[in-house]
Amino acid sequence: MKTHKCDVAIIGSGLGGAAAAAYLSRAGYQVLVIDRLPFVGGRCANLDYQGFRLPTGVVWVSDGFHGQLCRDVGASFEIRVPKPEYFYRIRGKDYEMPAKGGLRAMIAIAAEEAEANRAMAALKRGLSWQEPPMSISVKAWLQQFSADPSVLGIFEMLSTLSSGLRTFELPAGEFFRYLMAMSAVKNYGFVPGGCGNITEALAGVGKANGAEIWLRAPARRITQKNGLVTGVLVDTAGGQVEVQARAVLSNAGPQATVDLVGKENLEKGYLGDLEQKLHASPQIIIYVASDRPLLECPGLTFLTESRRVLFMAPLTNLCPELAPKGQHLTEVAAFLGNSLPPYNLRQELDLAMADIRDNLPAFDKHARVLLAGCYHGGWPVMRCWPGNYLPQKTPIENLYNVGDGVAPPGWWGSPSAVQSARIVIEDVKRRISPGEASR
Amino acid sequence: MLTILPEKCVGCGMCVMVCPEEALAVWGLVEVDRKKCTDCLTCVEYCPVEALEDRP
Ligand SMILES: Cc1cc2nc3c(=O)[nH]c(=O)nc-3n(C[C@H](O)[C@H](O)[C@H](O)COP(=O)(O)OP(=O)(O)OC[C@H]3O[C@@H](n4cnc5c(N)ncnc54)[C@H](O)[C@@H]3O)c2cc1C
Repeated sequence: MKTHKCDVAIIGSGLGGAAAAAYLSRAGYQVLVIDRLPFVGGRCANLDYQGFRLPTGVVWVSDGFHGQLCRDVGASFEIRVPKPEYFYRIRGKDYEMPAKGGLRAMIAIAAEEAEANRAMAALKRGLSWQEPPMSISVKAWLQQFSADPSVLGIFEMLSTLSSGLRTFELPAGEFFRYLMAMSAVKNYGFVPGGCGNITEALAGVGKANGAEIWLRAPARRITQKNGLVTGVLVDTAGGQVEVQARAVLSNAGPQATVDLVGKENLEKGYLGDLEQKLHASPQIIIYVASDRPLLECPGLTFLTESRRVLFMAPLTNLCPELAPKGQHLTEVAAFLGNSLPPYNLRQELDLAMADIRDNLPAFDKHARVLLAGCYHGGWPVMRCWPGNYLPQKTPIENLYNVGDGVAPPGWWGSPSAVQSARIVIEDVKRRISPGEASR
Repeated sequence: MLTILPEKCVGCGMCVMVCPEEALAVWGLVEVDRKKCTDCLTCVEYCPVEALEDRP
């Protein structure tokens, strides 16, 4: 069998894997990234379909977070920030969300004054005094202060937006941590050509610093000896390769990591924790093609009183390159009734379509569904429910997870994958010095 | 021959995007139009959850 030596092997080129590769290779580590798919980026990539450039996942990013990541490692980054970033639709009317105090503005419009004041005071207390406990859901927390369905709709939208979880599922404590983490992040928008350009640029930084990236290269086994990981067995077109590494970072998700290293090699407490906490969160994305723009707001239009749809985004208003000439692309995101399976996906899709017809009056005449994707299970919005806090470290000393399955408190969606990678690379740096593989 | 494993398919539609024959469709679950499918197996490569396989 062929062998390949490196300092750090990274299984998966998703945002977390690609970010880790960029950081570590810049710090002098010999890095190998393998991905079983034919492209870099996992759920942060783009594929061409009928002349449209469709995302595999990520669409909405920020200069404050993703731009900063790219500046940190010297990767190129471009973003188009819509003005305004958000509209929200309450009782059929669209309102522009102010740049500051957006949530408060929405609540003030949704509820009558006394109730709005009560909800806002509670919100303020949660943000500036102490967040509510983890044992109460966002919905149960909110219902102490407001029974207004429009107010609940606002929280439903905010809750499902990046976590995929409904307000009755999401712990209120984690929701407040998220609001606080996000309040520091500014300038959201769309990446020209798609967010795949971010993972491509990170991979490019890795390569420029000596990292190797193998695509169509599934990991088959994480090898270990005497309680330490020794590397990865990888299938490639040229046969199986024994990759020898001083640390392995798995971006494949915590369950896939367990399967790759073998349950029998992991401690029971850890496996029990995963069994209890590792639930993926779902979402539906419907890509709508049309012969004219379908929405006025160039950013996200939030729905607060829908059956399933939480936002609609006319991607081509700012990024016309995502569609063939004369055509337009709108992304519609919807949550599911419940975040735990079993799901009735056809019924969920029908409910989302009913929302589309209600909220995009031009749909039947001027638009069609290009693709309706359901994301759950092994290809979800988040691999682990926010608030369930799984550790980046595994019981094996040099085996880590990176990605949204091991999101740190308060971080959801693609930033959570990057934050987990930042935690892991700091630990790698403390334990392993760069370049040892070549000595 | 292209075989769909419905218990593994999540319905993400990545296979639909890459099929050169437009032989695949998705609505919660992927379906193949056997009249159009040429068994090129591009979809198998792109499935992120190993729900598509080449079987005899
Ligand atoms: C439809 C959708 C829309 C989203 N929109 C947004 C958004 O607008 N903004 C936002 O911030 N977040 C969004 N998210 C969430 C975001 O996509 C994820 O949080 C983030 O991309 C996860 O990155 P990751 O590092 O966990 O890796 P992943 O993207 O999960 O990548 C993991 C990689 O590992 C590879 N892999 C798995 N197993 C193996 C193996 N055995 N061998 C080799 N390679 C393997 C996979 O092929 C994959 O490429 C969205 C998600 C979805 C599904």
